[in-house]
Amino acid sequence: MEYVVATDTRIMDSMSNPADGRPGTVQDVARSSEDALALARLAGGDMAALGELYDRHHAAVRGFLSRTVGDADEAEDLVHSTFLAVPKAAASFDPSRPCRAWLFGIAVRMMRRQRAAGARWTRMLTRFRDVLNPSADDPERIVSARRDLSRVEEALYGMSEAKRVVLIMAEVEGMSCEQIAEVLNIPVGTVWTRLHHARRGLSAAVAPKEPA
Amino acid sequence: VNAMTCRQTWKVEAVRDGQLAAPESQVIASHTQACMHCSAESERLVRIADAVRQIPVREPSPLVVRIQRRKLLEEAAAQTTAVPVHTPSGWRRQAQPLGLVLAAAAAVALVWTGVRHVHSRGQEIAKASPTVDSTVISSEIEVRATPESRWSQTTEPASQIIALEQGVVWTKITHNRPHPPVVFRVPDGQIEDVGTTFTVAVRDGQTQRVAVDEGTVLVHLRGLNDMRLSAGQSWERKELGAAASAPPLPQAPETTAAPSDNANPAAPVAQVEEPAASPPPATDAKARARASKTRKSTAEEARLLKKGRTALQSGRYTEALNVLDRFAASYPQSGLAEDAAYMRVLSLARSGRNDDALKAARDYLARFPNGFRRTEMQNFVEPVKH
Repeated sequence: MEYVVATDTRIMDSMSNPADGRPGTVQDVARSSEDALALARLAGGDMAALGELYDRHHAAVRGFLSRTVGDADEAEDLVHSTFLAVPKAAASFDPSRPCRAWLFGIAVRMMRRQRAAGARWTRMLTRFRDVLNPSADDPERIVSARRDLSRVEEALYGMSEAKRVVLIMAEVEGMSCEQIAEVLNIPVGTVWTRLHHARRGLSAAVAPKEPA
Repeated sequence: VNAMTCRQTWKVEAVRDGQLAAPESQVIASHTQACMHCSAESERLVRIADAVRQIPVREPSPLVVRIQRRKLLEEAAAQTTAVPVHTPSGWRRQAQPLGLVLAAAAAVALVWTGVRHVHSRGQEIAKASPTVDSTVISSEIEVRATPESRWSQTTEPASQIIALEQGVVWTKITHNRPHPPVVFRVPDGQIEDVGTTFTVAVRDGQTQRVAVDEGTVLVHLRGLNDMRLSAGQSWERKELGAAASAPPLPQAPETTAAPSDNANPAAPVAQVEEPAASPPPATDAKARARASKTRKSTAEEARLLKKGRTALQSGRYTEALNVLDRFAASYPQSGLAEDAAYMRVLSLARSGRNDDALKAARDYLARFPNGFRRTEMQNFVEPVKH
């Protein structure tokens, strides 16, 4: 299976700077080289290298997936599937690209595969039921901040997955639109359009409240 | 949306998404500051980004992560050596005992072949790959290095020497005793192998990281106490003004590993139990003075700074700002205050609050005129002056 990888070094692997695209720090570069080395070892059958990659990136991949699918358990399954796919894909890794963006690309493919299986939608529907019909015995639901968050979550998980993925990659993970386009294998214009519509979908949820 | 009364408003989002070239982006950035409609649009975009970043992520406990890691490695290993299984049926059942014996023999042969295949494939990939140079020095020593690495190997009467000048090297040493000891030299010290697999990263004449996969190594680096690193442990240098094209981001000392006298931001973060970071080199008088000043409140300062850094890394910029503001208020004289001020600039810039970020950068330069990130801060502030 071929995995498309990102093309620029805007995302560095330990501490990226999504705002200005500065090159990474000395340690970023060292880690980036270590990732390339680990993936080469993995391609050669050294499974210990998979453990190293997991240690370095599992939290970031989990964060990305968790926000994207909106379900911690499902995100956990997907983290597992993503890293399980890494040994097979390792030989196709381009070491001049950032490893983390490459992992996100695999994660998105795993997510789509799981969606095809249908299990995720069942959980999503359950989640929606909970959001739309909060149980009376859940005191957190009546806290204002929590309610605001629910509005955001409701809007976010109500939009299409394609828009949500792009929005999270851009606004949370700090990826450039070109980088997102490469990872998802879509034209950059499509990324801009999806981002615009995703933001429009969230506008009402984040609008400042009118004074009472 | 009331922001649509200015014809330039759509460009605010276009600038954010990199649709416009740099000159036009700068024009729009200046225009946005003056135009109420465009500045409202800019705020809307920042609010949306903040809202998405604030969606909580449930993090599993370290124990769960460890269990999942083990499960992953087991499944990945099983995938590599998987053998097709055939269920006997019909007349085949009659011959089951013989079939089992044959199947077992076939499985052994397949697994053996598979292992050999994997091994030889690894060698081929390592040799063919443009990314990693693999060198088998002897039956006991294998070295894999990234292309930019500069390293050498020499044999001396009493020992084997591997010297790494620059780059990242992974070394596997399998001892068949008796054997001459293997010494791994780095510009600022040496690493003694005790039969192991480990990775070393060196940059600008300094060892940046040592990570051990198997076995144990003894690390001797100038200015630091000796360290013993075992499988799964790593040591990482924390940057302090090292000559680097891009100034490093601050690393808060790990409170779990760093005892109270590890206040100096120059001290390394050692993820090992025993070795406390030693005092900084004698030539670094400023850093030493700073270390002695901040000795008392290190643990809490480090904890708070680490919290801010984690929030920043995770894209939770509002939280990062809250933590960093609390740090600044609680520890204005801290030796880590410079790191906190720097992270504050990053948090503001990344959350789209460019004006506040510029102000924070100027504050940084005024407060730390000789700070380690002054060049980066000056570069950040400079375009606005012209």
